[in-house]
Amino acid sequence: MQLTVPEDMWRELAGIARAAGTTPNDVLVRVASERLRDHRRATALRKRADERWLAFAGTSTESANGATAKRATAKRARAKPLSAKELVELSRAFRAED
Amino acid sequence: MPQAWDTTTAARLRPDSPELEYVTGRWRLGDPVAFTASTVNEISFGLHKARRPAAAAQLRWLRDQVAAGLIDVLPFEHRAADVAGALRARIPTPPAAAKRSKRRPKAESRVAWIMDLQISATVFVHGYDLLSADAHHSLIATTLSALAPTAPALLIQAPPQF
Repeated sequence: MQLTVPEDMWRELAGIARAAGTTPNDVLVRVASERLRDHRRATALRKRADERWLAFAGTSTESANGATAKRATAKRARAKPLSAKELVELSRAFRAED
Repeated sequence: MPQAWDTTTAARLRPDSPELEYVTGRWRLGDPVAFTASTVNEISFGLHKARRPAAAAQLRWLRDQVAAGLIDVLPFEHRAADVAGALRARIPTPPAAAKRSKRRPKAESRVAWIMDLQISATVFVHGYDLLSADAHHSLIATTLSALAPTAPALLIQAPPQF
């Protein structure tokens, strides 16, 4: 496969190559390999970050209550959010604990 | 995997240090070391509290390294905050072994503990490993595994011997 490098990009590559004492092709390959390395690193990090988050968000409330996942899921489906009054009381209570 | 440094390790980074050589080496390889925003908070707190020109110079130098991209700073965002809250509910106070200095007031020990929870949570949600010599980070990592049993575990690596 042959790629065409735009003229202005080639001029820039040639300038970098002259300063580094190498060829424009060498600069091009280096830039591409660095970008590929950065992309692989970012992809691996994002994958592990998402796996961790999804595992936490999906299971933390169940495991914190010590219930089985199935029972907790059913319980969660039935549960309604706290009322405004309950929320205020809860926030006062946990701040007072500190 | 990419690594983030805890505060004890990160605080040793200074000009002409072996830690700086190590960090620069990783940056050159395209795998820069990261600090969490909470780590920067703790370092900034310590250096401001010192009230000495040398501490101010160290802080300026550190800011320059971050601005130059030598160190990545991982933000304490909504996911990290959620995980840190869950950790705090499970382990609200530091274990006896983590109540480090007897000179440190109780309130500061509590704040340091909350920071440790934030650091581990941030490193966890950003997909990094944590570089730390402190035993209590292993306790936090174990708690994280209990909170998210199917998640790739938070690995705690010992800092290299400089």
